[in-house]
Amino acid sequence: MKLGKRLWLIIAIKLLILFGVIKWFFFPNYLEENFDNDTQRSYYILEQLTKEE
Amino acid sequence: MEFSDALVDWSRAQFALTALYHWIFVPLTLGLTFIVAIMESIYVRTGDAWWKKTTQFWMGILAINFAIGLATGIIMEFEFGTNWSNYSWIVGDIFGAPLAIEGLMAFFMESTFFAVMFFGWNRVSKEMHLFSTWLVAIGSNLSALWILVANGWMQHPVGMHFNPDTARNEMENFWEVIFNPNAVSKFLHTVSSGYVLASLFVMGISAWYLLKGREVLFAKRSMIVSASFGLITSLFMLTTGDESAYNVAQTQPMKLAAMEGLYHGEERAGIIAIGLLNNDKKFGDDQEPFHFKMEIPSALSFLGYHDLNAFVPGIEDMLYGNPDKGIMSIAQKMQRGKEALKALRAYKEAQKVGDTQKATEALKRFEANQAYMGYGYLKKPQEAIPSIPLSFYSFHIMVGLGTWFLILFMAVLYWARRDQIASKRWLLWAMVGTIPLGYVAQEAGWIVAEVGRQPWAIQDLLPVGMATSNVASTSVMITFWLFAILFTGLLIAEIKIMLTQIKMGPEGGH
Repeated sequence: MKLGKRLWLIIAIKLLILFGVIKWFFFPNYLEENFDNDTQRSYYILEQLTKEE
Repeated sequence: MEFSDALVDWSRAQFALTALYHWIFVPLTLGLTFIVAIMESIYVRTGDAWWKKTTQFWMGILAINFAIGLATGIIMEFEFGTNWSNYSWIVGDIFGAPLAIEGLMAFFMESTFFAVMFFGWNRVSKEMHLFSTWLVAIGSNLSALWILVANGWMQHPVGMHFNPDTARNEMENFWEVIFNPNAVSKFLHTVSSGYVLASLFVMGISAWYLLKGREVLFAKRSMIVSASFGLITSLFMLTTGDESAYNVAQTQPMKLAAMEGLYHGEERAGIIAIGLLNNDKKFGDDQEPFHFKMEIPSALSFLGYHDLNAFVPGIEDMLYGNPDKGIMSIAQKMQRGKEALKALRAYKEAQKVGDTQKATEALKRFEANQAYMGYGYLKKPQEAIPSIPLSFYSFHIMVGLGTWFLILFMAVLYWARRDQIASKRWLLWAMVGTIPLGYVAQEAGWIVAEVGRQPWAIQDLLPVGMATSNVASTSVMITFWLFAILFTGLLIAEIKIMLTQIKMGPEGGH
C-alpha cells in the first residue's frame, strides 16, 4: 500500500505539472492561438511553404 | 531554410530529449507486461503459490515503471502543436487518425485492465485476473502499433494525397497507411526490442539476488522465464531487423549508406563488423572513409536487397548522381523540388485571381514534381545527408549489443538447464552489467531510425527546417531545460523506488 500511495502521488504531481503548468503556460497550440479558422490556417501554411527565399 | 537554425536546433533537441527519455520507460512496459502474463499463466495452470508471488513482485516493478513513465509521451503532442505546427498541419489526418485510435482504443483498453490487474487480486476470479493481465500486455503493445504506424508514414509516406488548397495531406487509403511495410517492420522490430530489454532486466535483477544468495528459487524461476522469452524474441528481433533494413534500402537508401559509412556504391557490398570512421573524410576527396574496418563480404547487399550480388548505392552515388545505375543527383532533385514549389506558388496565385486555366497548368506541373518537393527547400545538396558518425556508430552499437544479448540468453539457458547458474558468478555479473546495455541499445535504435531520417520530417517531402513553428527559440530553449529537469527527476525517482522494492524482494509485499 505504501508503494501504491507513493506512485499515485507521483502520478498526480506529474499530471499537475504537465497539464496545469507546462501545457498551460508554455505550450499553446500555435495555429489555434494565432488564427480563427482553418481557411486562415491553410493560407498561412501555404504562405510558409511557398515563400521565396 | 525559413526558420533560424537556433529555433530548428532547439526544437529538434527538445523533441529528441523527450522522445529519448520517454523511450526509457516504454520498452520495459512493453516487455514486462508479457513476462508477468506468462508467469501468471504458469501460476493459474499449476496453482503453485510461488508463481503468484513471483508474478506479483514483477507486477510491482511494472507498476513503478508504468506510473513514472505515464504521460511522458503526451509532451510530444504538446510539442507538435507549439513547436511543430507546420508539420502538424501538413500531416493532417494521416498522423491524427492513428494517434486518435491509439488514444481511444489501445490506451483505454490498457488502462481499464491495468486497474483490474493491479487491484483485482482476490477481487476477481483467477481466470479473469489472468485475462486482464494478457489484455494489458496486448493493449500496451497495440498502443505502440498506432504510434509506429504514424512514424512509419514519416519514414515512407504512402496512402495519401497532398491537397494544394488546404496544404494538408489527406488519407486516401487507410490500409495502405496501416500496412506500410516500413510501419509493419518498424512496429515488430521495436516491440520485440522491448521484449528483449524486459528479459534482460528481469534476468539481471534475478542474477543480483543469486549473487547475494537471496530468493534463490524465485530468482532461478524468473531467470528461466526471462531468458527463454529473451531468446525467442531476440531471434524474432533478428528477422524483423532484417526486414527493417530491407525496407530502409528500398525507401531510404541515404539512411542505409550513412548507417554503413558507405561513400561509394558497390556490388557485393559488405557490412562493417567493426570500423573506425575517418572524420577528416570529405565528399568527393580521395581519403579512405575508415581508419580501419573489418567487413563481412556481400552482407550489406544481402541485407538490403536479399541478393548477395546486388549493387548498394553509396552516399556519393546519391549526392552526385550515378546515371549508369539510374540514380538522380541531389542537385537534380533540388531542381525538381524548386519546380514543385514554383508551381505551387503559381497555383496559389492563379486561384486567388480566379484563373482556372493557369491554376490547372500549375497543378499539373506541381504534381509532376511533387515527389521531390522537400528538396526544393535545401540550400545545398550536402544537407540531404544525415550525420554519418551518429548513424554509423548507433547502428553498430545496436547490432553489436543485440548479438551479445542473444549469446547471453543462450549461455544463461545452457547453465540453468544444468542447474549450475548460481555458481557461475561471472555470468551473473554479466547479466547485472547488461541491464544498462539494454537501454543503450534501445536509445541507439531510436537514433538510427530518427537521426538517419534527417534532414526530413517527412521523407523527401518536408525537411525539419520547414516543419517548425514561428516561435522564439529562447522559449523552446527554456522548455528544453524544464523537461530535462522534470525527466531527470522522474528517472531518479524510478531508479530509487525500484531499488527499494528490489532490495525488499518478493517477500516485501504487494
